[in-house]
Amino acid sequence: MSLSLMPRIDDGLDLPIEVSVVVPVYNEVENLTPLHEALTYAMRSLERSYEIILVDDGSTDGSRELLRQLSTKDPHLRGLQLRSNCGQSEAMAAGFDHARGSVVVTMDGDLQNDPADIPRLLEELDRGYDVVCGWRRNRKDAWLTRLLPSQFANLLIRWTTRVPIHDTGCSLKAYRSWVIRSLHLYSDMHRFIAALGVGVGARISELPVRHHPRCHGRSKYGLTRIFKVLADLLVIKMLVQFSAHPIRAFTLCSIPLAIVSAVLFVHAFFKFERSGAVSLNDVVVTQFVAAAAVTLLVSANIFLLGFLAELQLRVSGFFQGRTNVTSLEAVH
Amino acid sequence: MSGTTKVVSVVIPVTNPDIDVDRLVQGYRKPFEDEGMDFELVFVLDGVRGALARELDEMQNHHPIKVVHLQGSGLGESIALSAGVARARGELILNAPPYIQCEPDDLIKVVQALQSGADFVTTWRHPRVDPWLNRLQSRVFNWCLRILMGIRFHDLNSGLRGMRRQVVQDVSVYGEMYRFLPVLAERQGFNVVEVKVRHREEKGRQGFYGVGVYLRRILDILTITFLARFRQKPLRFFGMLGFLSILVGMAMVAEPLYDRWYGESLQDRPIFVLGIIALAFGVQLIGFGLVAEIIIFTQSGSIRDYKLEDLVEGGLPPVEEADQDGPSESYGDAPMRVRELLPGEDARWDGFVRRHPHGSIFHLSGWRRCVEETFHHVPHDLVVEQGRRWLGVLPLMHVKSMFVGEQLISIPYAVYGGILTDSEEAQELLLEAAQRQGKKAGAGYVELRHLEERPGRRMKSDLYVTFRKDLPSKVEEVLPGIPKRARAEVRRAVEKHQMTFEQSEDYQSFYELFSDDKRRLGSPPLPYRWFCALREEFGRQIVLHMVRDRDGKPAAAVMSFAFQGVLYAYYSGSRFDLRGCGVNNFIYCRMMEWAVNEGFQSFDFGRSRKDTGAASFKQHMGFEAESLSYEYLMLRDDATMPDFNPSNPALSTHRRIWSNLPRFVTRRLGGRLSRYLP
Repeated sequence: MSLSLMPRIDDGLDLPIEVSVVVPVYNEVENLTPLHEALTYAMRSLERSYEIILVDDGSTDGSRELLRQLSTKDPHLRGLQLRSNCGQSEAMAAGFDHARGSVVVTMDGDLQNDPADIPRLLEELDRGYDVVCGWRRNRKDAWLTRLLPSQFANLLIRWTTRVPIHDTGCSLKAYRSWVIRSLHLYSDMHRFIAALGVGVGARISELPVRHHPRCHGRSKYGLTRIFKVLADLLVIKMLVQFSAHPIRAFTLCSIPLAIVSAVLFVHAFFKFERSGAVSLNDVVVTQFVAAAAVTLLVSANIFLLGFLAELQLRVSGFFQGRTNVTSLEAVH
Repeated sequence: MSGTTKVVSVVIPVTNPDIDVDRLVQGYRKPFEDEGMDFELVFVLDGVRGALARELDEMQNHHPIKVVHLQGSGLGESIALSAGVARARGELILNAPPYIQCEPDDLIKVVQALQSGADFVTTWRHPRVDPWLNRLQSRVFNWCLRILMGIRFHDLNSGLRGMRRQVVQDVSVYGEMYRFLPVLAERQGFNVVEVKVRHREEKGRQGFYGVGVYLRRILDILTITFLARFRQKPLRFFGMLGFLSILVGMAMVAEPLYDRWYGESLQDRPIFVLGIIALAFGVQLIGFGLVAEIIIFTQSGSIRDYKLEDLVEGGLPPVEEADQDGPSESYGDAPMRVRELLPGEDARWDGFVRRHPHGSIFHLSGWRRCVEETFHHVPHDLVVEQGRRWLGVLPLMHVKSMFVGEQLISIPYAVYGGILTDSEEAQELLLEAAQRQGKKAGAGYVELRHLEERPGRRMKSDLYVTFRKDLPSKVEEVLPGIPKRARAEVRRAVEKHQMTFEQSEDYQSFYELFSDDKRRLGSPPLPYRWFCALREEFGRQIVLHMVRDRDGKPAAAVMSFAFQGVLYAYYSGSRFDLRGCGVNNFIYCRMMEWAVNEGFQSFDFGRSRKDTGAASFKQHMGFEAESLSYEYLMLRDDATMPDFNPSNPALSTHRRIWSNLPRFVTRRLGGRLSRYLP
């Protein structure tokens, strides 16, 4: 009972690419071959045209030579070699720039994600979602250094962005390509791509995926990550909720300050009245007047900063570009 | 690469008309001519016109010289350099000052460094022969950079640099930034090398730079570092500063406020105002960072920080070697070896199982994951490979059984399992490895639940039989295929009891029926989360059928697996009070009809112990018993084959007690107990 579900590897090469799998790889020489095989098996079972984009992020352990060697055997494999180690976001951005599929799947290169989950993600995507995130429900990582910080960060992210995703850090995700085209990733933004996706109107879903313990190589992030994540959160919060009108976020901050300042002024005024002093230079109220003045200044400054942000958004044509991408996808 | 035949282009930006062109050209020509290298001199005239320009144009006829006239003036060396490179022929570029600064022979040193693999060569004039003040200034400047910015180069002001064309194209510089090319190039991953050159007295230029020049340069490098480090995440930087400022501000404000609580006045406490200002500054910094972040976010589409070195497009494979079913010549003589399955190979595993004629749904990696998740048994899946081709697989799990001790089972909670391979050699290897694995795990025996008889003589159990039948191609033929008496029961269920059959999603009711049935039989039911795990894993490969009585209450339910044209009726339960009403005959009959409609080729009634009621019921439905060849590899002398025979007196007491326990106890406990009853 041999199954015809498995097409030959050279099938579908002339078709337009439907699924692009982008995998950033950094010093993963032991994992590269199993990864490529596992991906190939998973993708071939799909009966869709696909490409595997392995982005070598400046590896120094022979990964790039191996990548070159692998690509001579598999027409579906495209290797991007970055000159130096630019970080995962940049590597993903490179992969995204070269992805041709209408669906893009990302995953880690360390085999902690299982390529066998890809078909399930795609199935979920076909139910009418634009982004499907993997959720490593039973993670195989050290509890104190990996799981706890990650759970805490995820809780914060869920709480601030109100995007109900349990596992923001899971790299295994599937996107419709328009989501990616409208979001340009920089720095660590790939972690928040689901939340950012909501900001551009994507429908998000989540699916539990498998997670394996690392078997080769060493894990590449540590505890310090959480501090960076906190700073990023503020940005994400603003980009998600106020991406259309950043001035609102700034105004929201400046108004309470203005009120505080007004209260301080009034307080100083009454004190001044009651004390019966003659001049404002009177020491009784200087503290309050100064504090009120400073607060007012900050309030005004923040409002102006918001104006600047708004201006930048208008001038950049960011929304124009986004509309183009989105409507193009709709027509297609 | 043999660089000797390559052209070397020397790009010389000229901003000052007072240069000794003849001396310069002679000086730069000599070393190349001595070495026999092909070279050209590219003069870039930045705002230089008149006599010098004419002289140079004139010289183009006699010397390998190119002259580039820039429009406008004072564009700076960075632009002059890129303009020069654009016109240059060479792959290797030297950037040299319009005066002789070092021994001309050193040009060759730089070229050689490039030829031996460097992408960028920066020079270090050592020892210097400048006036001492210049030397001091330059030293302090470079020392500052080294200490403050962590730059490892000693002499960034040296005018002689060598680079590959690629560097100039990839590293964008403007203004005076060309000076920091080595730093920028290194950051972008180019291989930068420093070469010592002998300094010569610099003729044709004024001796002394003002301090302002160095100050400007320090500012430049600050900008560069700042942009490189914080452009990515402005808020991380500004946010941190702002946060610190706020903390300091709070500390400063806290004390006066605390005192005020106890009646002291805020007067004469300037620290209070300072604290307020610090707070304000912190808030501003964060706001500033946010705006910067918005700018980056909206512009990042045009910013690409990664540098693509190479794009490798996959080639066509001559043959796909990894999984041909037939023997592959290239691996014919490679040794076979057994190894454990690696994470990430699940898809490949599943592919193998699907292609193998004896592969069952239980062999799939999903089953193992469900068992792992629900019962926490440890998998030890084995693979035999020759070269990269897989020849066979053996799923194994380490199970601690309450009754017979530890064991390795292929496959727990399944009726079929064991080795999948076509090669006897591979089978022997797998058996050996399984025994090794079992001993290592301290197991008493390895149980292989083979469906088909496999070659070789091992201890076998003939306790179990299974029931399978090919389905007819038409629905009408299902009923006639069932023996007469069973057919009568089916009719009775419909006509007398008005039962209805449906495909259902009501797993809750199914579980109630299932666990009650189990309790009556005296064995603990599998936990509900097992079924949830299966459904999550297999999705539409799991089908639930249900029969309802005339009141619409569930009467019987069967959960089955669909795998490659076979419907495996696997978990079932029915109400005891309806036993005599033909409910079981009815549900299985309808299921077979459903299966025919859905295009299944065969129906698997599942395993039973020989000579039990279940076995006779299946025979009664017209299925033939097929012996299963479960095999046992004994690992210890004292290990015995498990005896789950219903007549086993040791178990019958357990069973009797169990079936008399209250329901809530059996359900609660059963889930836990079933961990030990694979």
